[in-house]
Amino acid sequence: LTDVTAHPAHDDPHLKGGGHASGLVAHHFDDAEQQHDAVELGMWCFLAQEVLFFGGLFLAYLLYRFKFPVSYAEASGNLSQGLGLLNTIFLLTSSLTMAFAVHSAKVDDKKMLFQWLALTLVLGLMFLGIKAIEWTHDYQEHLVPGTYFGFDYSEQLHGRSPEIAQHVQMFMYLYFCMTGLHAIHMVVGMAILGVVAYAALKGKTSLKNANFVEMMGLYWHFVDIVWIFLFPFLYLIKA
Amino acid sequence: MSQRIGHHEAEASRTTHVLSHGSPTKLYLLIYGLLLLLLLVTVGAAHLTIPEPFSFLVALAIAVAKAVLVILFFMHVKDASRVTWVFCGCSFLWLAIMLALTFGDYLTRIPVSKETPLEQASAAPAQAEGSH
Repeated sequence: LTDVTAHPAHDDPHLKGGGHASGLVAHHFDDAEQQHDAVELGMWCFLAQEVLFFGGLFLAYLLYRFKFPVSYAEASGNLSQGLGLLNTIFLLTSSLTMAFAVHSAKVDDKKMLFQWLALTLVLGLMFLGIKAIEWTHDYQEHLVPGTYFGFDYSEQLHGRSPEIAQHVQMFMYLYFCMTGLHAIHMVVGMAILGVVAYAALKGKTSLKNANFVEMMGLYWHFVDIVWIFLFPFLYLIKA
Repeated sequence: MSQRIGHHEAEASRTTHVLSHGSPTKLYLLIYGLLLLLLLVTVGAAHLTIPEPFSFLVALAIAVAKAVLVILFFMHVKDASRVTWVFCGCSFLWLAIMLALTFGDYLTRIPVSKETPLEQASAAPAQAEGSH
């Protein structure tokens, strides 16, 4: 860390300063850089767990995709590519605004931090709004797996084999599990985002340390990455 | 700026500035543009008539490229410590192990006899799909 050189007593690491005096660096860290790297590593531990958490669903998806390719293409045709594309644009844009928010936190610009966080929150809300429209449509079309799953009676598959209807139902199970788990992550992320945005609006001192905003950004980008895979896997299967 | 803030905050500002590596606005907009471009490519590729395993591989490759862009630049792994690289890489390595071992089983299963539960389970889908 280059600010260490500004302090004369650089022989003793505990006298380097590095932000202890301002309360930005906890006493068990040598300096701000060490604290940042430790926090970042901890977040990546959590994200590694999340990769495997979603990985189980992706594994199930891939197994059945190669087992029932025809049914998957049929089932994917019931999802709106336009709404899926729109939602992908919303999430990619929200990742951009979150990246700007993290930068605003690092340069300690609370006004811009609040604006970028608010924009990210709005984009997240728009994503969930589109998702609600899609799920409502799926429910009305009897595409929700279970007793009332009516795909085999629908016009698209009239006269096809009943096995395909079963496999389409399997696709819809995975669709709701994967997009549902993703949406839960969105809701959790937006709740944290809302709290931080409020703190930024009020100029709370707890935000002097940008690490929290940065780690929230890592989480948000991870959720974006999950959707980057979900969109082509679920919406873009060609018959 | 330094006129209205105290000594402690000036110290904090210097600390955060060192970590932020200047203004990344252009870089972020470039990455965002690339992500949107790759999004268009993946939608376009889905409307081409590519046979099934390859159309999936194309979609997968584009998604991986987008994920790498987000991880390296938006998530700052490019500038992160070596041990963060290892943790980030391990998460996908473990995912690859899970996928490889599971597919190593499923893709190499050969029906032995009609009586095995395995064969009974896979018989119906094989007929319905007209493959395997």
